[in-house]
Amino acid sequence: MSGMAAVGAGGAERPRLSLRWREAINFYLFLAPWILGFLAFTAIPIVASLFLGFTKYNAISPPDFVGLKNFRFLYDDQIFWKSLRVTLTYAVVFVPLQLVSSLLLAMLLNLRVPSMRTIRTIYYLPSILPTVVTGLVWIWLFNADFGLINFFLYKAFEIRGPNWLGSERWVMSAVIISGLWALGGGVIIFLAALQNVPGEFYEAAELDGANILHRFWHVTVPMISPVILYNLMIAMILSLQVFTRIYVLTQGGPNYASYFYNLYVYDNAFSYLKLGLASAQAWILFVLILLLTVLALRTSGRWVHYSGGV
Amino acid sequence: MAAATTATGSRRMGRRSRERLYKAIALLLLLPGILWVLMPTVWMFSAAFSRLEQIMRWPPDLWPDPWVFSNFYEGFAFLPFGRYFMNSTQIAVIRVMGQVLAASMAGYAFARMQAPGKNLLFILVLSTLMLPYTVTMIPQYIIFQRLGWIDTYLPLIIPHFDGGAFFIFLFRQFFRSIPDELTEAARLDGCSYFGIYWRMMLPLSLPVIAASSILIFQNSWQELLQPLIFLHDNSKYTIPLGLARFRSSYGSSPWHLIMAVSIGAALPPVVLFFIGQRFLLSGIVVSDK
Repeated sequence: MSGMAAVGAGGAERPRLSLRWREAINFYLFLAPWILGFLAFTAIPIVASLFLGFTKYNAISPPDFVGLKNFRFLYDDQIFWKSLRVTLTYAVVFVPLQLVSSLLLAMLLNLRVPSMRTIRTIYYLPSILPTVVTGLVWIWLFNADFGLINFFLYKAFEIRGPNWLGSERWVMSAVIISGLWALGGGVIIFLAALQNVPGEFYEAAELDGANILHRFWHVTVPMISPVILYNLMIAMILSLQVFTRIYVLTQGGPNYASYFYNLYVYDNAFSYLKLGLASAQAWILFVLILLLTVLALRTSGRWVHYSGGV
Repeated sequence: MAAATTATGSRRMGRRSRERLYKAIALLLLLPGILWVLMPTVWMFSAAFSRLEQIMRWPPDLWPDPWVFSNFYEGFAFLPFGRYFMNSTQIAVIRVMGQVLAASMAGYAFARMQAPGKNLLFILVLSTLMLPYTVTMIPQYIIFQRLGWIDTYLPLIIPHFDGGAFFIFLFRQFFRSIPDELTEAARLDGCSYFGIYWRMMLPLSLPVIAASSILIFQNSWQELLQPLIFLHDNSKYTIPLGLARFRSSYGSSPWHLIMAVSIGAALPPVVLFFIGQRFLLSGIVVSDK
């Protein structure tokens, strides 16, 4: 019985070809929803948007091929560069902060302490609330005159807090602070990974006299390094596409100081009906994300350890 | 400072007491964080039960005086939020069912079957994670316009019936952790692939079904960009779209009502989270053992 199972599980030594065919056909049947959805709503749109990027198109008259004009327009467009700068600044500051604090928080939440389940729930709460709702709340917390943040700054340090959302200098800090409030998703994935690290590894390290920092650096980090890589890439990809929070918090202001990339894409596409230009913009971001992802994957060989082949 | 005492003290202390020290430090770090994490929620509750004048007062006072319960009633009457609520619910429920089904099917195929092209397809699935939504957004809009789907909920639901890369991955990881012997025995008894999937795999994968349902519901419930693009008719709005539109058109008028509505808007995902919470960690298997 177990011998038969092993043959079946091996896959390579299937008894008859027809069985293998049946398996392949079943595979594609089970994958049919994904394949159809991918073709209709991803693959065809990708090609179409690449094409639209080289056209002038307003959704009413047919697209008009204009060559590289959209890209040349963007190259001279100050608002385009501003939105790119805003987005990259945010990503460069936010991604490392988010990654490190998510991992630290996950490690703290992983300890066996009484009432830890309640603490975990509380820390996850911000990520359950809809982004629009939390955005509306943050508008008030950051309010210069009645906001809790400035009240706290005044009470604790006697500082007159800035007009967070109304000042070009402070708005980015406000966006980052409100982003760091909802760490949820990454923390859950880190937590799941930490719970999969076998306890024996820590015990062995401890017998060798490793202290808590050694154990973190030589056991925890290597063991969960594939998940660190995953969270890093997702954080990077998502931080370049921030939309909802900004749409509610600042709508890009003041004076474009928080005009994130996708806000401009959205405005060009659906406020000004420049669908060709917006497609070109979207593709520039796509290429940027591809380059960053390839870079992350290339350098990951040095620090990511795969124990079981994820 | 704390780290230094820990390091020197560790040699003399027993393992037990050292563990206890770490845990005490962890709790000391976690507890102030709780205040920070809860602050916005507390403010939301306080504002929802306050009069408008109290929200705009310095110094801020979090204890409503008097408690105003009619904010909830007035808030839901002010804009048709009851209707938006039903719209959002309808979209989320249908999307969860379809997406979980598709993701579990694809995850099962990737975890338990062999076929030519499988590895390439799996890489393709994962690589969709890198695709910014704005790239497909404009052609999708054109497609949906041609199909007459604008101002219907189909654009918010049907594209997700591909399962989504993250959820396909979750199901695959879970199905891979189920021992082969279990399904091989059923195969030898002549059970079809669909029979194994439907009668063995799905019942076993309850934790993943719960975890992905919660996450998909949250995604659907808070989605703003897609409703913004595809829904123009006021009566079709979802909760986030209604709130965002309110924010851009009314500026800062009845914020106490908006906070009351916001609590209503936050309730379904929160309740769902509390029901399914215990599955959230067990359902997410990120690495192979």
